[in-house]
Amino acid sequence: MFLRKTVPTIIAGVCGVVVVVAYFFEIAPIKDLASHILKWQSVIAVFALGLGGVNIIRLHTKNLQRDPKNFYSLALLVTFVITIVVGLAMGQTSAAYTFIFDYINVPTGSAIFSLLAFYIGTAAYRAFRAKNAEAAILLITGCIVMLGRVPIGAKILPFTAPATDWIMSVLNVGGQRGVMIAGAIGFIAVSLRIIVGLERRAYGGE
Amino acid sequence: MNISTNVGVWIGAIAALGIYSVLIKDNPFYRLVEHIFVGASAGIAIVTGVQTFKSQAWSPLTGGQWVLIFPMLLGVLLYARYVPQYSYLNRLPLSLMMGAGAGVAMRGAVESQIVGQLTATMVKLTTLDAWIIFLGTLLSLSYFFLTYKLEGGAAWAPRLGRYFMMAAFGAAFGNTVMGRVSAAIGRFQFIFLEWLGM
Repeated sequence: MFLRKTVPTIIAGVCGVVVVVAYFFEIAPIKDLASHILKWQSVIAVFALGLGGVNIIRLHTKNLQRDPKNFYSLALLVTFVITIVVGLAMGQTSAAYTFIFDYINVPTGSAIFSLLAFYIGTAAYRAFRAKNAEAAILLITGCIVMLGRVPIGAKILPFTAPATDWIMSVLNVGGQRGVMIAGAIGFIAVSLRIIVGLERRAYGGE
Repeated sequence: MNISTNVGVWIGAIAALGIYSVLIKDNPFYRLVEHIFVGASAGIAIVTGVQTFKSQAWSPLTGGQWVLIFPMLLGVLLYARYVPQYSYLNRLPLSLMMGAGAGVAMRGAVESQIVGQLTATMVKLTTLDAWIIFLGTLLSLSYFFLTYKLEGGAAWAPRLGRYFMMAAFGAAFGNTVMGRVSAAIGRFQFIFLEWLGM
C-alpha cells in the first residue's frame, strides 16, 4: 500500500510544489532542486519513449503471429527497425537517414495533414447552418476569414480582406482571451489536484 | 512533361497519392502507406530519444554526474508494467513526471495565459477596438462563471460572451481551413511540378 499509493503521491506533491515554488521565489536551493527534477523528468521521458517503441513491437509482432500475411504490420516493423538502425548506426546527418526523413516522413506527413482540407468541407457543411444566432456568427466570421485569406476572395468581395484583419485582431482576440484565461484557471485546478494527490489516476493510481 | 528521375521524389509522390486514395474509400494502398509512415515516424522519435538520452544522461553520467543514475533507474521502472506482480512500481517514475509536469504547466498557465492575457487586456481604452477586446474578454469570461447561474438582468452577459466566442471559433475555423488548403496545394505542387514536371 505504501509503495503503491503513499510514495507516488508524495513524489508527485514534492516535485510539483518544488517546481512551482522555484518559479515564484528566489530561493537558490529550491531552484537547484527544481532544475534537477526537470532534468530527471526529461531523462525518464526518454525511457517512456522507449516504452512506446516496445509497445509498437509487441503489438505488431502479435499481429504477425496471429496472421503471418498481415503485411501492414510487417511493413510498419520493417520501416521502424530500418529507421532506428540507420539513425543510430549511420547518424542523424547521414544521407540515408535524411532520405527517410525528407522523402518518406515529410511528404506523407504533409499529405495526411492536408487530408483535413477535404474532410473539413463536410464538417463545415454540418456546422455552418445558421440555425440560431451563435451558428450564424460562426458561419459569417468563418466565411469572411476564408474569403479574406485568398486573393480571389478579396477580388470577388473586396471588403473581406480588411474585415478578416479586423476579425482576427479584434473579435477573435476578445473571444479567445476569455477562453484562454478560463482554460488556464481550469488547468491550474487540475494541476493542483495532481500535486495534492486528489488525481492519482494521472499516474496509474486509483 | 519532364518526369523526375529522383527516386526520393517518386517515393514521396507515391506516398502522397497513397494517402489521398483514402478520399475515394479505405483501401490497402492507403493502409500500407499509413503503416510505413507510422513506422518511420516512430523510428525517428526513438532515434531522437536515444540522442537526447546520450546528451542529457549518458555523457553527464560518464563525466562524473553519478546522481543521474537515479532517473535512469526510475526510467527502467516504467517497464515494470510488463511484470504483473511488480507493475505498481511504474507509478514511481510516472508520479515524478506528472508532478513536475503539473508544476511546469501551472506556472506556464499563470504566467502566459492569465497574467500575460490580463496585462494585454488592461490597456488604455481610447479606441473602439480596445473597448471591443476588453468587453469581449470580460463577457466571454462571464460564460465560464459556474458558481451559480446568472439569471434575469445578468443573463445577457454570458449570452453575449457566447457570441464573442463563436466569432473567435469561426475565425479559427476559417484559418484552419485555409492552412490545410495551403498544405494540400503544396502537395499538389509537389506532385505536378516536382514529380511530373508539368
